Amino acid sequence: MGDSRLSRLTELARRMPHQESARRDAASFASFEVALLRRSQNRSRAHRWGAGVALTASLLLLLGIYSLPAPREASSEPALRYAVEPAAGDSERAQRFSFSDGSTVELADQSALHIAEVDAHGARVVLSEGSAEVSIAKRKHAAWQFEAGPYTVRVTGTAFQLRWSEKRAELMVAMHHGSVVVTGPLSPQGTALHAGQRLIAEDRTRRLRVEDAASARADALAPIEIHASRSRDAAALRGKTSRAAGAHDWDKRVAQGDFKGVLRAAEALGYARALTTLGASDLTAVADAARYLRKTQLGRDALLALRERFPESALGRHAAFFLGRMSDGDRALSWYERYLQEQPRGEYAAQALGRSMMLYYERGDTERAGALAARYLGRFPLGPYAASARTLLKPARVQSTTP
Amino acid sequence: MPLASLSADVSAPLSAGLSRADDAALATAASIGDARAPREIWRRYAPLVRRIVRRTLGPEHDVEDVVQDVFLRLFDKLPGLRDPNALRAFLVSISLRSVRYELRRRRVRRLVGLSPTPELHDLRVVATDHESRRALRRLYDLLDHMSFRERTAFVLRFIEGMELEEIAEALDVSVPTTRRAIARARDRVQLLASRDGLLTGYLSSSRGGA
Repeated sequence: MGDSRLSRLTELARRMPHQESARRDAASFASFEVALLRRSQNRSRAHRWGAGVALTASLLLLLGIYSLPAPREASSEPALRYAVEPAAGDSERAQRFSFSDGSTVELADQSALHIAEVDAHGARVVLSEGSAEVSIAKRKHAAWQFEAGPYTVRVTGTAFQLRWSEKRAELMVAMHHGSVVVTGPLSPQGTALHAGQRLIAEDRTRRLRVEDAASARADALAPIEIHASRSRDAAALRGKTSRAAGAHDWDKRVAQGDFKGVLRAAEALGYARALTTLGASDLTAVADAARYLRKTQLGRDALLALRERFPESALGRHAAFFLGRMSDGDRALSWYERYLQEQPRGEYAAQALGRSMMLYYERGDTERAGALAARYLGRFPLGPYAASARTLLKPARVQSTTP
Repeated sequence: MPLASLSADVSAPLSAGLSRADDAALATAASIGDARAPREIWRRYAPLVRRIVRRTLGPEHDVEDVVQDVFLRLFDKLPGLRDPNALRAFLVSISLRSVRYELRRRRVRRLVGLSPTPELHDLRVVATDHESRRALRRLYDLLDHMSFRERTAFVLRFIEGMELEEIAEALDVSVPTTRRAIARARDRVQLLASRDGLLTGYLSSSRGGA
C-alpha cells in the first residue's frame, strides 16, 4: 500500500468531527469547573485535617500517647449501588433509581436520564430531557452532581425537582428542602438555592430568575451573581444598625428579593429626598437593591450618602468596602484601604485585603502585592486568597528555570 | 528570576484581560489561582485537546470525560511547569498521558470481558457512508495492535500533522527516536492495511480511492 492510500485513510480520521457544539462545550466546561472546585475543596479539607492531625499528634506526644488512628482511605469505600424499578404512580414508563445510601431519583414519563458515574459519595447523573424528582440522603461527604443541558446542579443532602427541556433550552430547579448550587452559562459563578426557592433559566432569552415558590413573584428576576450574593450581603447588613424612626423595613424586602419594589418605593419618595432622609438600614437597602439591579450610579450615590450621613455606623463603614467593589483601579484600592483603616477587624477585612493584593498584582506592583500577601497570610492563613498570597510570596518556580 | 520580574512580565496582559494574555501570563495567572484562568485556558485549548484525544482514541468514543481529565491534570501540575511559555506543549503531553491511561483502561476492560467503554458511546455519525465508517473503525483496530508510542506518533504526524520536534517533545523522547517510531508506525499501518480485505477493498473502490 502506497503513501497516497495511506493519506486517504488518514484523511478519513481527519474528517472525524472533533468540535463540540457550544452547548456541549459549556456543559463539559461546567463539569470540569465543578471537579476543579471539588478538588480544591478536598485539598483544603485535607490541609485543615493535616494541620489538625499535626496539632493532635504533638499534644499526644507530649502526653506520652503514641497511637493514632489511621486516616480513612476514601478510595477504599465501595461505590454506591443502585437499582432501577418502575416508579409508583399512574405512569407505566416512569422509572425510579434507588441508591444504596437511600437516595432516589424518580424519572417522569417521557424523560431521559443516565447515571454517568457512581462512587462512594454519590453519582453524576445526566438528565437529557424531561423531569426528575430527586431525593438525596443527607450523609457526611455526600457529593452528587446532576447535569441538565449546559447546567450543573451540585448537591449534598436535599430534595428537589429538576426539569430540562432540550427544545426550549430551559432549566427549572424547584427546591423541596436542603440546598443546591447551580452553575451554567447564565450562572457561571454558581447560584445557591434553598428550600422553597425555584430557579428558571431560559437560555434563549438569556434570563434567569429565582423565585420563592410560595409567592413566585415575577419581579424577583435577577442575574444569578446578584442573587448569589444577596442573602449573604443582606444578612451581613441586617441588624447592624438600630432602626431609624419611621423606617420602611426595606432591608427585609431586599432580603426577600424584592429589589424592584424597594427601588419603586424610593423613586416614589424621590431619590434625592430618599438619599437625604432615609435611615441607615433603608439607605443600605436602596444601595443593595440598586447594585443588584445594576443601577450602578444610584447604588454608588446611596453608599456615598450612607458614608456621609452615618460615618460612625457599621453600615457606613461597610459602605467603603462596597464602594471598592463597585470601582476599578486606584479608586477601588483607595476604598479598600479606607475600609481597612476604619474596620481593621471588620467582616470584610479578608476580602478587602485579598482584593487589594490582587489589584496590585494585576497592575504589576509586586512590592505592595507582596506586602499585602504577607499581611493577608498573617491574619487569614486559610482565607480564600491564601493560596494566591503564598504563590506571590514564594520565589516563582515558573520563572526560576530557563527553557 | 525574582518575583518582581515575574509580575512585571505578566502585569500588562493581565490588566488588559486574560483573553489577550499570552500563554506565559495565562499559565502564571492560573498557577496563582486567578479565577478567570480556567475558563480562558479551556476556551483557548479545549478544541486542540479534544481533537488530539478524539483522533488518538478513535471514533465512537465519548471523549469529554478524557478532555475534562486533561484539564484537571493540567491544573494539578501547573505549579510544576518550568517554562510557562510551554503551556501548549504541556497540554499536549498531558493529553497523551490521559489517552494512554484511557487506552490501558479499555484494554483491561476488554480482557476481563467488559465493554471497553462503559460510558455511553458517542453515536454521532463520523463519516457519511457505511463503508467509510467501517474503514475508519478498521484503521483504529489496526492502531490498537501497535504500541502506544507508535500509535501516537502515527496519529500526531499523519492525522494531526504535527512537526517532528513537537511530537518528540509531547512524547518526551528524542527526535531520532520519534522519527524511527513514525517510520515504524507508517510501515506497520501500510502492511496491516494491505493484508486487510476490507481496507484494500475500500481503498480500491471508487469512493475510497477517489
